[in-house]
Amino acid sequence: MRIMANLKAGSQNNRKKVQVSMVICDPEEKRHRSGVNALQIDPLLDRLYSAGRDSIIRVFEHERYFHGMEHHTDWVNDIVLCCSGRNLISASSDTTVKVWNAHKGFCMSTLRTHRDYVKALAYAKDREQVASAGLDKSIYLWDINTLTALTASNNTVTTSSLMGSKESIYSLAMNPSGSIIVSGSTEKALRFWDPRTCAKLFKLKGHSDNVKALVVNRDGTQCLSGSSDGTIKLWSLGGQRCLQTMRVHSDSVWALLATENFNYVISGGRDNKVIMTELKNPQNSRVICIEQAPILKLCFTADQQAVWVSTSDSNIRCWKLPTDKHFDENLPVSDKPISLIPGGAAIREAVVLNDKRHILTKDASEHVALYDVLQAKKVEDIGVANFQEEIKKRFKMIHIPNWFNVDLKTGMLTIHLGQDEVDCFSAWVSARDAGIKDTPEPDSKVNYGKLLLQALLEHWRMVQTEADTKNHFSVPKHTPLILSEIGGRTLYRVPVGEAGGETESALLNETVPGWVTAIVEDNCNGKFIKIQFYLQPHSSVPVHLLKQDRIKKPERLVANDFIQCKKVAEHILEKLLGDGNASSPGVDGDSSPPTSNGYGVDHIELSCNEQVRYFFSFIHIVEIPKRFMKTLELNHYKKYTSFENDTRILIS
Amino acid sequence: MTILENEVNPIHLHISDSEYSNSHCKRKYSSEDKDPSAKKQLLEVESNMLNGYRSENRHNGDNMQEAPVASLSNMGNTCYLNSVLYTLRFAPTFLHNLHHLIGDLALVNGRLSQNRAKTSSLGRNIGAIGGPNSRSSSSGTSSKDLFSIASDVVPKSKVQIVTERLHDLYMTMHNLELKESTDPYQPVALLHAVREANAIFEGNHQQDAHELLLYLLDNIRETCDFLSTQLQHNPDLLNEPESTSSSNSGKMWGVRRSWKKSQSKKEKISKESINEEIINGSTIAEVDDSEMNANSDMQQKKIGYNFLAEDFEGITLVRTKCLECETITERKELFYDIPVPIMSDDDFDITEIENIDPSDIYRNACVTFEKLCDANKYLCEKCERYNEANREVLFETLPNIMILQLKRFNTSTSGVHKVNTYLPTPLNLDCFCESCYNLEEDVLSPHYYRLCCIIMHLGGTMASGHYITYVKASNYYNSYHDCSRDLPKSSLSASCSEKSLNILKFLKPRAVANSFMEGRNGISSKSILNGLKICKSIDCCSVKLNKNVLENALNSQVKRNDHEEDLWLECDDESIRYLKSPELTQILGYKPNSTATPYLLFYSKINRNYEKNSD
Repeated sequence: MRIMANLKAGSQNNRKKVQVSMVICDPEEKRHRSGVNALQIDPLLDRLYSAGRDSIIRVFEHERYFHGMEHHTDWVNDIVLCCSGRNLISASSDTTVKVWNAHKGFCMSTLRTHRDYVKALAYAKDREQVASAGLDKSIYLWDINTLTALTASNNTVTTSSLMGSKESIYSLAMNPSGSIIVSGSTEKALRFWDPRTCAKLFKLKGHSDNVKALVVNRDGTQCLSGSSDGTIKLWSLGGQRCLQTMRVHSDSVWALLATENFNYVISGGRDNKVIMTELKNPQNSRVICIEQAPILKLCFTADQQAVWVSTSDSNIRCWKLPTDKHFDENLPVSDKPISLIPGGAAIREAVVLNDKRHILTKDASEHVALYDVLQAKKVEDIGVANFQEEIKKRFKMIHIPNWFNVDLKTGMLTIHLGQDEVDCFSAWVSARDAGIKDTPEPDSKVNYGKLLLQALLEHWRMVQTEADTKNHFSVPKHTPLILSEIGGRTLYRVPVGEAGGETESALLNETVPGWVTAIVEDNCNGKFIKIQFYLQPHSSVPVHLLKQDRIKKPERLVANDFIQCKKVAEHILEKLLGDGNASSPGVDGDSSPPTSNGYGVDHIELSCNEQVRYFFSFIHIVEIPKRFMKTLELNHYKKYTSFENDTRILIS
Repeated sequence: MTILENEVNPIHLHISDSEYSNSHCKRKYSSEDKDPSAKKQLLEVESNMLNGYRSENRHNGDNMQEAPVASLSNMGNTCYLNSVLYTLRFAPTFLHNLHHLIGDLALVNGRLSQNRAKTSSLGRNIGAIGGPNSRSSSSGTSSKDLFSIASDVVPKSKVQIVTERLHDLYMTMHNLELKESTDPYQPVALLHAVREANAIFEGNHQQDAHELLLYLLDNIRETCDFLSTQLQHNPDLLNEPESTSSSNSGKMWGVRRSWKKSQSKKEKISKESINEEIINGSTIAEVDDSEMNANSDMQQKKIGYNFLAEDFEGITLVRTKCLECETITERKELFYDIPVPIMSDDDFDITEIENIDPSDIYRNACVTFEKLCDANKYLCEKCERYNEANREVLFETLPNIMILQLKRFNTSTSGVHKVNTYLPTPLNLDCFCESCYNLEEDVLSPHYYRLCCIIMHLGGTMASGHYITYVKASNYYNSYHDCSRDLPKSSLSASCSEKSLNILKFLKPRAVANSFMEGRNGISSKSILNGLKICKSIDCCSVKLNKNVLENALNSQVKRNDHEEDLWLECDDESIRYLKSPELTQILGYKPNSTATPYLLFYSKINRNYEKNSD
């Protein structure tokens, strides 16, 4: 209880609510776990960059996994490779834009200008300029040379913003010379600006739904747009009108690619199809492939003879494009991909078992696995199994309050520790139940939230705990630790093992909220408020079962604010029922012999304020949750000087 | 039946009238004052008396003599009750349906108690009724009702009594009209039943007419549900008449045939409903509880006798599209009334309002689009994350009688206050159900809505206000034609009406227990009049307009199908007077700072094709 008081005081200093999260993942996630939102090709090194919904940007060299670029904490929505392949810019739903050293794969700087998901990037190659846009309706223009020159000390950058968009922007395109930029939004219209002057030019209406894909030709005279209304439109920017409306897809168009000379358009949509259409003659269109999921992005190979296709499942395939000859002579196109970068399976379902420590998951390939939150790792691969059966199998007769939330947006398990609806310090369990063998006292209690936080911040400040209270659990060093505003932006992300580094440590000092610092540095195991209560036999209990002297005057009992029901049961058997010989009923299930009057004590039912709280047999150990005791305390303790726990026993 | 009460009434009334005329009603109506707008203004001036009673002048004067229908007297703050009773009475097909509901109910109850006397294995029956009753959890009372009725220990549920009292009341009013009696009737028995069944109507306080209306409709729905569950779980009730009628050799074949026919119809219907669900299943990822309820409700509706479902229940469709994966999820909900938001006085601009088609105003207020974005993103179950989404609220089906509730009472921290902003009340309203909404501009929708009743609220607050009702003067004679037992022909698929018709055939021969029907219900009970079959229930509880009064009033210029000259009734507790359409339009028109505002609007669905054919 004292700890809780401390924590509340600590959080007062830190009004902006900060949430601590971690991701349970493998040391190296070589495969995409979920959809792939964007692709970029580096022809010089034969590298393919792919932006994953699992927050990781992966690099494949010669179609083999090369390395992963981890720093985002949410979906990466778009990437742009610039400076001849030296740098990569990425946009993410964690509201940041990041600048990467593409060759070495580290994050150089983070731009936090956007206030909502950043959905799209556009790149003007000739001017080394990149634009970012997102759901906050704003577009920012960045000079890449300035961005790459940013250092820890020189960390200011000026940006010009393009104003005027009235709704969330989902797509963006710029021509290589940077003379025109176009945005597509839920406004259903295309809006154009001149990036050199930031002047608003005009808007083009015609689509009847969100515009999700855009391409501008080299000289900025024509533009292609793909919309959720299922059409692709070719626009003349000089004439400010629609030249052509193509309806080749049966559903929304999400990805577009145009050949260099703007002769053909390659489009991908929600109908899983990739279609190549001749712009001058839209009737002339060929289905290149039918994928297994909606198409998210298309990217030419270096020779422009094939396309890489990414979808909302994790595989990336390369498909041969038909040539002019195919079109002219109507030759069949191969229905096999020419190469494949296989993805992994995303976790689609997660159920927190009622020990509130293990999570059972089912992934996209129906595989079931068991994870341990305290160790931040997978503990069992069950394989293809009946999910509900497995949950049932692992049911334990125990009640522990929720102390974390699970999030599956990245296809991996993200665990959020917060303080509001789900208080991460609400779960107290006996050390023995937590699997801690070498406890100083047999009855000592541990707090799951505290254990996990200590493990996560083990390397930060090198807090050396005393020998007897050293960490009982540790998490893998690669586990990403994420500090973020609740329901909002990410403040800092660092792998647990690197928290001890100089800059990392400094940044953590700034961002780790007071309530966390307090709990991590507090080495005591927590002192508990002692509560007085009475045990009274329930009215249905036959009087002759009870020891006569106990009936007259109920004994005042004192215990910690949470105790094991087993203890209560022992007490009842010993003191109230006079069954003194059954010293340890929990161990020996048959130790409740029929009493002389023929009643067998099979169950003890504890009820509090008339409500039956726990019904159990001796084999199971149930704990009265602290929360429940807390509410009782709130309700009664302040009003009356003595706290009465109206616990009754019922013998059946 | 309750004529005794009726004779007592005038005494009551005179006492209270004199009291009130001394204390409140300083100003008296002059009976000559027939200009409705003038009257209206006076009403506003004298807000004190709004809640109470009319002056004696009104009673004894000519107006009273001229009242074309029976009237209800105010028993102290009961204008909310009277306004709702008048409205339901003049709601198209309501009386006819209510009559058959009560008839069937009496029949089923009678047979149930007979069964009980015959068989000793009732316990099993009860179990069967109580077990799978999906309603019981939602309403709580319905399962209790089943027990109480089946066991006959408690005679009837309170809910059922309210429904029966409502029918009794309309019977009494019908009888009064037959006798051309002008004495207002006190709906005491009904009021008692309502208060007995629902504590919130206790005490002599002014109540929200809307709340009462919903309560009454809900009561009837529960009674309907009771009936359909009884028939569903007691096929004996259907079989028995067959066996008895088979002894009646002449009828045997006819009955058999209809039984088979109804069976096949039933199968067809259940198949249809299954198909519907599969379609739902494939398109709808999000199946939440309310939808499940809606589905089960819909099924029950199909099996049952729920005329309320046909006439008063519509289905809203909440359609959400995640802008990331573009998956569309739909949720359906049943409703009785559509709340229409009203803007505050500050934003009001009369010229602006008058330039908009009133149909557009209502459509835009009811069919809404919303973008879930910024801090209010939508948790997409497919993406497992918060994304932007478009949400639209549509109406999959609108009921035959559409109730629009103008949200005039806003609850704020300072209490409930009334918004008096003017909103036009069009006599005809374009339909805005999903299929009509999506029609091309120039295509005429197959149906539209015509105003049939209005409940007006006069006064500044809910507690001190007064309710009066405007109803279209019609006995809906047409709805009694070709009675398919309990459902109006014009608005129903043939299968439904035929089905219920067939079920009726079974019930008919056993119609002994039913005192109302006097063996004249159903097919055989239809008298042939002018070549049309008229349901006999028209002689039980229908509205009997005093033809002389009406014809005098209109100088015999009215023809039934001449909509321009529709006759309206202004029902203000015990005083009822007629109006012509132009007069009503004038009352409903815009007047600055008026506190006399339409509150509940009842529109009945008019099928354009049907209208043409009938012409």
